[in-house]
Amino acid sequence: MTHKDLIDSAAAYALGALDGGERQAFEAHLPGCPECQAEVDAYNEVTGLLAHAAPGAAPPNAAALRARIVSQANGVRPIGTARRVKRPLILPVWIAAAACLLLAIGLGAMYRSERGRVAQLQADLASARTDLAVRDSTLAAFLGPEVHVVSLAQPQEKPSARVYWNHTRNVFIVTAFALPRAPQGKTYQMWAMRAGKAPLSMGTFNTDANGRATVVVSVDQTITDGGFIDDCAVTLEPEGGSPQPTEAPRLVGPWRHVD
Amino acid sequence: MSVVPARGHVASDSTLVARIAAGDDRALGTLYDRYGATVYSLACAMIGDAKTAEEVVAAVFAQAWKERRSLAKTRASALAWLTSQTRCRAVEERKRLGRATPAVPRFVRKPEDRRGTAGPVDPSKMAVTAALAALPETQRRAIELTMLGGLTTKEVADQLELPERAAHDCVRSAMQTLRAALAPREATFDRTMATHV
Repeated sequence: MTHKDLIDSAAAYALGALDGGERQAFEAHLPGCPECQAEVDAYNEVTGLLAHAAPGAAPPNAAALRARIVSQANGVRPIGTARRVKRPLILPVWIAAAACLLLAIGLGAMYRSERGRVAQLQADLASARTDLAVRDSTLAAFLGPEVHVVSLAQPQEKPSARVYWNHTRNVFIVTAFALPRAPQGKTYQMWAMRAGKAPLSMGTFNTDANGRATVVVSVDQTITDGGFIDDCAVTLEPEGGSPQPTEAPRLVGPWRHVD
Repeated sequence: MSVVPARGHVASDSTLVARIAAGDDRALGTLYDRYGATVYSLACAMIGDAKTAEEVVAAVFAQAWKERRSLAKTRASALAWLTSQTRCRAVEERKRLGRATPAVPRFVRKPEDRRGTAGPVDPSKMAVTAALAALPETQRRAIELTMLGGLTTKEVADQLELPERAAHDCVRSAMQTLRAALAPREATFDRTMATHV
């Protein structure tokens, strides 16, 4: 086919009225022929205008169709363009693994820390309960009809210690106050003094930095078996105590019955 | 939501297409307002089924949106592009429905013939109907058969009992006449549309 034949086909081509073979021949020619392209462009516009002459009615659901077209558009991206969506942040595997490890370590440390804290709290609570039990016990030991008490003092001085003897519980409670802490290698030792007999050791104790002490001592059977105790005395002895006092009593006081 | 512009500030087709290319779906709605009924009527005339015609129109506008970047660069006007796509799809649908040769309808004789359309008559429509009315009957029928019937010039020859060459020349002559009659509108289509609200 000549160019003249082909350009005469431009109108029919624009109308889509060429059959298969004709169309293929024309389309093979078209890309290299600006003149034919211009003809096709012009006839395409005519064809577009001819649509105005089509008979018929407006679509029955024009508004619905319009809404559908616009809403469809919202979900469609143009061809050849990347969808502009926020991508999920993808970390390299090793960073993720490292983050997990750090988290695990952190959690482990936190767990251990918490567990340690709980253990400490439990220990503190147990300690407090023990302390409270001791104090309850001590307080109970102070009270009641079967309690002897002795106030121990230096000669001509105010008392610096008291000893309570609860016969029912069979305990001594030594409360010292304003009694200087025994020097290194020394300890205070308490004695049951009986007229005409050797003193019996009631035990050793020491005060804290404030000169205070509260000590509960189980009463040795030998003391209670030894009969009536006249006085109670405290001496400073070498650490571990002595069988018999090695010095004159620093503190001494007579037993009295608490009523 | 559609924005109703003030008279004299109607966006031209090329402006609409540019807005569509930029991703403005409201502009697509405006384009539908402008040409939806036209391409629906065309699809309806070609297929003979209202529901299928509606699907074709929806598909064509979806394609316009999808290919909006290339649509903005094409030399064709928006109407020419929409018409071309609608005709392609309508021919496919008619084949699919097995309606090989339905009775080919006639063009509207007057713009007022279009039922269901309200408002002022588009000057372009008036010009097209006038140009068609001025054609010899055989030429007009040849264009109807190709434009609305989707027939090839060979099929037009069979239908009108003309030699192939005569049918081909008939179509070509009619199109030349129409082109000459509508020539100003080819180049000034946007300006014409801009005077119409």
